[in-house]
Amino acid sequence: MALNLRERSEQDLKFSLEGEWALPVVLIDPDGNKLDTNQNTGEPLTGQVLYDSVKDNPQTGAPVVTNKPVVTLRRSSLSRTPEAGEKWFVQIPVDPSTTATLESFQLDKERPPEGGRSIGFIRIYLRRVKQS
Amino acid sequence: MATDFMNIMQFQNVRDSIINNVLGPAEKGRYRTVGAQRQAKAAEEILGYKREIITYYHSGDIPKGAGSNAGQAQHDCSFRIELAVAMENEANLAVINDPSSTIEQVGAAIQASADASFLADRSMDELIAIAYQILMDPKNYDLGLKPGSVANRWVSAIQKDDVITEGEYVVLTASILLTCRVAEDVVGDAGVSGDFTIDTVIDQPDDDVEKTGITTATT
Repeated sequence: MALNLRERSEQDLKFSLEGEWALPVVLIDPDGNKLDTNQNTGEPLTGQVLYDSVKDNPQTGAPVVTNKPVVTLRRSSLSRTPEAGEKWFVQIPVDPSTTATLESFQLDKERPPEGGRSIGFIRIYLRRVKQS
Repeated sequence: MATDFMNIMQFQNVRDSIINNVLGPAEKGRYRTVGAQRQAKAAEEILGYKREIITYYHSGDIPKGAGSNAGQAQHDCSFRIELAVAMENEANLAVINDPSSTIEQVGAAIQASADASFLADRSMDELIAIAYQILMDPKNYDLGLKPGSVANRWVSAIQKDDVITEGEYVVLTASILLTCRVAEDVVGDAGVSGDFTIDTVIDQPDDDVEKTGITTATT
């Protein structure tokens, strides 16, 4: 049976999110379990990483570029997905290189993960963390 | 803007004294004292223990009483003490990033991580307590001036604002209203003797109404 359009779009995420632009990503769930393997391929987990995001300053309305990374992953590659309100950590490379050291960020409590269930991706917003 | 000749009123002395003799010496690395209103600042400037206490004269009541015209004027001053803190998320990254950490250790570190808004709230409560205790300390009854200079010193209101996210930081502000009573001497103002004077008269030779620049139409 032929795949419908949405299923084909989901299949395309393998190229758009996990293709040559992808960077290694490690999710750490609230219990401390590391999700670093792609469920579909068994290879290391990868996704799209944007290091800066644009947000409107609530006081002035002016757009501000902030160092708050946004990570987009293919849902079917994950054994578990972050839910709003959960304490997850996400490790991404310190710079856009597949061999760079991983740096830990925390899920932004103010911006819960965005669904994308209709196609099959999840977008998660990160916040920088300081050593306590 | 400074002028050559300026009468300093007592409320200005009190403002400077709050900054230089009361809040400033008590900093001890816990906050920074700023002496004027600022329109905007970067969250990074007030991060952690760089939190700020900003003091400025806010308003005053000068009730008219018998003898007011001849003697000193009673001035009920209100000073705004603005507090600002910024925080970022905190966690034991040494454990989370260590590949040899067990799942349980990483899980415990994640659960113990602190949210920036929670930290900002607690930091602000601490700063409010510090500022209140300093301002209401019996030894600061005269707000750092010589005894008898100030009366009725009182912190009459504390207001905490909403948390604002500024990029990767969370910013929280609050204000304390400090009121006191001082006596103002009215010595008059002699004006400023400058190097030159500006003629403010509009003198247009052909203007029949003269010196106003406005003519009246006649029919």
